[in-house]
Amino acid sequence: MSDPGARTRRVGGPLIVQSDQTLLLELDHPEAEECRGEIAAFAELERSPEHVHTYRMTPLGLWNARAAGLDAESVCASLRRWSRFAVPDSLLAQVAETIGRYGRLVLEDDPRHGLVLRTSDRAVLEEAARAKAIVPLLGPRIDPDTVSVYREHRGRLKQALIKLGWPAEDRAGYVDGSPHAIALHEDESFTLREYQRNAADAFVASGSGVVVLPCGAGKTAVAMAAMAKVSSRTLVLVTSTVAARQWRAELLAHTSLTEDEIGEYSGERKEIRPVTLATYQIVIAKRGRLMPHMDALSTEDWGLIVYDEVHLLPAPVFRMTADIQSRRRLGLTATLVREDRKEGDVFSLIGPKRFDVPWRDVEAQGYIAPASCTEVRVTLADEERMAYALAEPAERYRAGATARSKVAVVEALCAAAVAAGEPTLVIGQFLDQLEALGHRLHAPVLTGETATAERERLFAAFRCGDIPVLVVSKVANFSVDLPEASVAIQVSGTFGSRQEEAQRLGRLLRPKRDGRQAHFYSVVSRDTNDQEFALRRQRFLAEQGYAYRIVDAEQLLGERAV
Amino acid sequence: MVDAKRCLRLSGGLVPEAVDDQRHARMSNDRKYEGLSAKTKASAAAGSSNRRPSPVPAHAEELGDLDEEQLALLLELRPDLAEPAPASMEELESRAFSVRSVLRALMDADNSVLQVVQILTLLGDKHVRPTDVQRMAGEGTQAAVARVLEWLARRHLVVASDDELCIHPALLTIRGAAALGPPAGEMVERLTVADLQSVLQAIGRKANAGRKAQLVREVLAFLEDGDAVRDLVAGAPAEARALARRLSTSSEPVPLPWNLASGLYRRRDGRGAVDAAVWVVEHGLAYRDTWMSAIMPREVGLALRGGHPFPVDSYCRPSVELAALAEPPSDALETRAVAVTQAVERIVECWGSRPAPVLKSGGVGVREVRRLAADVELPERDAFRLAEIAAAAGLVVEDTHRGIVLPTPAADEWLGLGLAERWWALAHSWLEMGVHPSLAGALDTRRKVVPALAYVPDTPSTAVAQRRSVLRTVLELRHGHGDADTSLASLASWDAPLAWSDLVAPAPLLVRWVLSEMELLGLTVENAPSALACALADDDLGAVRRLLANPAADAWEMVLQADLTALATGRVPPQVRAELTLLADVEGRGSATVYRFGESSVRRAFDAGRTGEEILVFLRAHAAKGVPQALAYLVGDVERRHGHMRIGRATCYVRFEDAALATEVLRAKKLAKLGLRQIAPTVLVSDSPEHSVLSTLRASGYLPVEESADGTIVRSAVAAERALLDRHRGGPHAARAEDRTDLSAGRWGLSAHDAGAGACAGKDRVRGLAAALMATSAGDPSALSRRASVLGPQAARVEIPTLLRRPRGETTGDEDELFKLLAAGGGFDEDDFDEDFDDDLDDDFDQDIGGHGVGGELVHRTQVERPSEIARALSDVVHLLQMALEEDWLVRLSYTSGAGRNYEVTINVLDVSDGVMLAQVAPRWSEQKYVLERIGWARVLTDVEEELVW
Repeated sequence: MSDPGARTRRVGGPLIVQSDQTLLLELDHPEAEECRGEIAAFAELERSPEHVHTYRMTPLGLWNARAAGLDAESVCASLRRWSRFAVPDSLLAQVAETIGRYGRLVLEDDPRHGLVLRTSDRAVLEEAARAKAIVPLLGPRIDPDTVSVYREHRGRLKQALIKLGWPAEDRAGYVDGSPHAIALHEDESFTLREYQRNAADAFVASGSGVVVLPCGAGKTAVAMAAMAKVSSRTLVLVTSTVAARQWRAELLAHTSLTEDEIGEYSGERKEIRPVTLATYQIVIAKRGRLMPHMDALSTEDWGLIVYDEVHLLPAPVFRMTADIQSRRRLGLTATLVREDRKEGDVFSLIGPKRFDVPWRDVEAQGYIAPASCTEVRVTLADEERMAYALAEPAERYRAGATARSKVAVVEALCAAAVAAGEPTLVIGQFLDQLEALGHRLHAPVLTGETATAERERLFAAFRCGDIPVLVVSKVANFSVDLPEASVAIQVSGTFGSRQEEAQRLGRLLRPKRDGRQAHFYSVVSRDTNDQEFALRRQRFLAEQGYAYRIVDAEQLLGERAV
Repeated sequence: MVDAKRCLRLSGGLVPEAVDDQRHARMSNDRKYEGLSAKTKASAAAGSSNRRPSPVPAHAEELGDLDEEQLALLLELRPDLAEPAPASMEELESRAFSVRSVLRALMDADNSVLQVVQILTLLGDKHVRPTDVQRMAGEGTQAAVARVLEWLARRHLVVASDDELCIHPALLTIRGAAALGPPAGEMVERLTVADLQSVLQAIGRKANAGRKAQLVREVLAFLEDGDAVRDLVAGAPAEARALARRLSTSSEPVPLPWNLASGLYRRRDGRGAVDAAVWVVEHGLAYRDTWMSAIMPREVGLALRGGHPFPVDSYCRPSVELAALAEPPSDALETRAVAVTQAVERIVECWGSRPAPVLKSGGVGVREVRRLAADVELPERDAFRLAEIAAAAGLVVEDTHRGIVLPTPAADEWLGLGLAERWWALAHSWLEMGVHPSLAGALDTRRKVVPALAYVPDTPSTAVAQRRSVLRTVLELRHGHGDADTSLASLASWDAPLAWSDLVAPAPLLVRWVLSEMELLGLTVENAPSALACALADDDLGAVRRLLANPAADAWEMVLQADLTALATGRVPPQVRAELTLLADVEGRGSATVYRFGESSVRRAFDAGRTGEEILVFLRAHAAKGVPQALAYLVGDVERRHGHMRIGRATCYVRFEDAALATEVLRAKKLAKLGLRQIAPTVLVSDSPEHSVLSTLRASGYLPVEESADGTIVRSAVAAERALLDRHRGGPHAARAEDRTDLSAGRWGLSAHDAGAGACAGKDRVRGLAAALMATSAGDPSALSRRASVLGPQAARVEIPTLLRRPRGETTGDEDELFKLLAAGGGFDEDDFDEDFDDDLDDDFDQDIGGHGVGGELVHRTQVERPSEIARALSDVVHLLQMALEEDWLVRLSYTSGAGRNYEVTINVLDVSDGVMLAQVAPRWSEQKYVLERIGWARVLTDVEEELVW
């Protein structure tokens, strides 16, 4: 049936170019890394399981690549060079056509007419100027190739144009904002790496855009370099208070900024200073129908706005960003993929990708071993199965997820982890289940109702090892950042979106300093819809390259017993 | 737009059965050979297609004289003579002289050959000299004519001897050769003397009033004098000159300005000038063939063409200047070959899993092809073409019985071939197809889309010749054809005029079709002919194998990943592909196929009969990098759960109280015909209808009852429906007929006693009442209860509900008194209310009174177990009946009537007193009095029995 000889023989490159614009990269190929370096510049990594990674070429990805300086010829050349099979001409033609759409319309600042939209292709301008969504954003026609644009609509126009498929290149420049000197302190302990310097330069040259760096590649350093070059009042939008404090520490350590110059604008403090660190939550917080904090912040004369973790940027922030298009904007992220498919808004409002770190440079940082994931399937006792079967549809998930049969497994896992001296988190959604587990494991239970002081105390104790096992609820884990742990056991519930899940898992389960791997267990009731959720999680984690194993509880308990 | 109907009609080849000349007149294109086919059509229409002119001796002899080598050459050049092999020389001769065979021979002829053949026809003699032919062809055509005569001679269509050519008789039968009209002789003969004179006058010749023959000769002499004719036309009015020139290029008749009203020609047009057509006729350049039209004779046409039927330069191949194109790179060939074979594979897969329905009018409709195109991710146009090619290659076929199109076993064989062979199968089938694949999906003359697979033509057809001609031409030009479809078409039609003479669409369109199909198949790449085209033209499969031998494409690999995807690259063997498609869903296609495993896809494999072990063995055998644990677990998990529920078909079930009875029934031979099957210890199912199972079981002595969908017993003894008044609410309701006893008895004041007992009962009641009253006044209330039954429920039933319906606190004084009287004096105790009226009183009464005594205190009733023993002694019987009365049990008893008849009944005890029991008798529940002494035995029914009775 099969010809082993034929199968082992490998000819051609590591890449398979599919007609649906996906690229399959075979990791075991000797040239895979080199190939990855080239294709990552214009294709987004979609799935990264163990053997073959899937990249996808999207118009946005190609435009991003174009904005970062790649042209159609080099993209096609890369595809041709690495492809194992002949690349369909139609696909190459399509790629070239897509890339060619970027930059035919240019937003410029005309000394006489102010902000204008100029084109090198009249037909495109005609098409755009006639589009329903664009008509109200444009002013009078200046000449056949130029039309004036109302300044306040700069952001909205770019958004509308990208929807139309003709992304505009924004060369209209920026206001400088109130100057504020910021200098970078470089010494032996901290120097900018080459790619970080390049990234900052690439950003400053264009004035707005996104720098894509993998986790751990030093995004903050790029931002600091950019802040130093711009040297004006800066607003940094971050995901959480904890992140804000980290930023503050970094800024104090590596720049000339002092305590007084750095303000925190969060739920707890409302300081506006030359460099202000604000959380997304507070920016979008509503009072009635207004967003007072967003208004307060956007009226300041910022020279630079830094968006940390752009892929998590809440949608309302886009609205604010649309109104401040004349400010320099720097987006930082590890991935441009957004769960809400608003990649287009990132492109048009924050800016296109300005810098992509070459893969080899990151690799030099050391390979980050992902956590190992294990799904433990618990067979429910007969009465539990009957209870599940009889439960109302709305209550089903709870009935399945909180089955008492899980307790023995959690106990066994915790016992093993504690014996090995690993700090362990037990995470769940249902409070009564968590209470019961806490009682059984003699572990403190942390929920959304736990007071902040108590919470901090528990975290501190957990970090220093006084508490080996901590039971936390999902509610708690939304409002606070969980401390690092080397073992996490999820007994019920999910982490929300897939993106969020990966983020949290990644943060939760960093590789330990001594090289030990972190472990993530999810305890799942067999034959219930608990298992369906687990299946989704499995697919996602496997796609992210986490090792994923499924074991039966009986097997696990048996192993432990032995 | 194309004429699809015509395509079907004409696809059979050049010699269609009856084709009307009207259609020919409509044909737009090259009309030079019209005569040729028209004649053959005429001969075909006349009857046998093999009808042939009688052989000319020179030919027959010559054929007999051919040496072996010459004969071999002849058979090679005219393959139809050898296929099927002729039995004798006579048969060969017979074939060689058939018109059909000559046409076949001429099918490959180029323009110059056909022109010379027509010159031979025009010369009209069986024996002609080559110089005559030469002279007619014109100056500068010597070489071409000599080449053509040689060509014809090799095919034995002319036989050269000495200084003479002997012409094949079939060639002389061509009518309207060179698109010239018939010879003038006949036409002139038909004119009247006056007409002839008028013609002669018009052309300025002396019109002697002589004999007609003389006049005819004179006219003919003029017509044969080419210079005179040309002079005449040169001096004609401009319009007439133009008309004459036009008529000379074709044999079309010219319409005459015939005035229907006057019955005369309208000689002058609106401006007073002589009408051009009339002028031409008047000057003898054309002759009326009907009242309405005239036709130009051959001599005039020839004269106006300068004495040569064809332009002298038309004997040479036109030269076409085309832009040079680079030879396509070899990897492009592979891409195209892979693309086209994969596309056909997907079509086969798609129609294999969901065959396409065929339209009533035949073929696969545009909607279905669109769906196919979406499924296999192809442009609609290509889906049409590839479906046609797949059908031509025998990969898909219409199942005429089921009215669907689906893959053939040959498709499986094809799927197993290598890339080169699969491509070859498609390309070769394309080359030999009888229709143009691009016809499917094109718009026909009614602007309807031509369905796919609608036409299955006989071979040979013009399509094949056209395709070969384009392929040849493209290859010959070598440097691509650019956009020059039209010049390519002119070249192709010079090379094989007959192939392009009978068109379903304009030649340039056909050429464009063929070119686009070549592009689809990779025979050209961006218009430049590829090495594959050479190989196909040379019929060289080996070359194709060399060209398409890409180790990367032939190697294959299957990689399984932890995210439950599989990636298959290269030439995956069909068995592996089929198994993968069973196990997983296809998620992406292209050079590699991406599959995704899921619970439902793995279940599909189990449904198809695979075991978990088999699946894992398959995966382990082919997965290049091992089977991820998650996938193996998934397979195991699905296997564990697969088949835990089973679904079957049964018409009815039989449920038993105990397994032993079920087994007994299952084993009963008499019941074998019911086809009972055991699906659980106490459940049997059968495919027989429930009524027959029921009756068969009853006939065998069992006592089955029918169960309704909600699990209750269906009572079979349903009497006729009646509309009745609700007893309490007064509204009409449907009640069973058996209830009427009670009702009518109450309404009409009759007791339910049988007629004989009626008088006795009446007396008893009065007596009883009196006794009760007496006893009450004597201060013995207990007497009342003893007499209650004698009083009978009817007395209370008429009155009491009206009293009790009222809340007790609100009873009026009078009623209260009466109630008391009845309660005390009538002998009713608390229980009587419960027992007797529970059923009859409505719900609110139930709530008021239900579990309470009249006095308001709770009546506690404990559950008593049913006795199972049979009571025989009178005291036991009385005890049993009283217990049954209290507990509301049904009782079975044996009774001997006053007439000495012994029988058994099931009863509901209403009262027991004074040696007499009042009871309702099943199944009609009529009331009956029984003398206790006459009861032989009594027993309480079991729960189950009771349920059955109810």
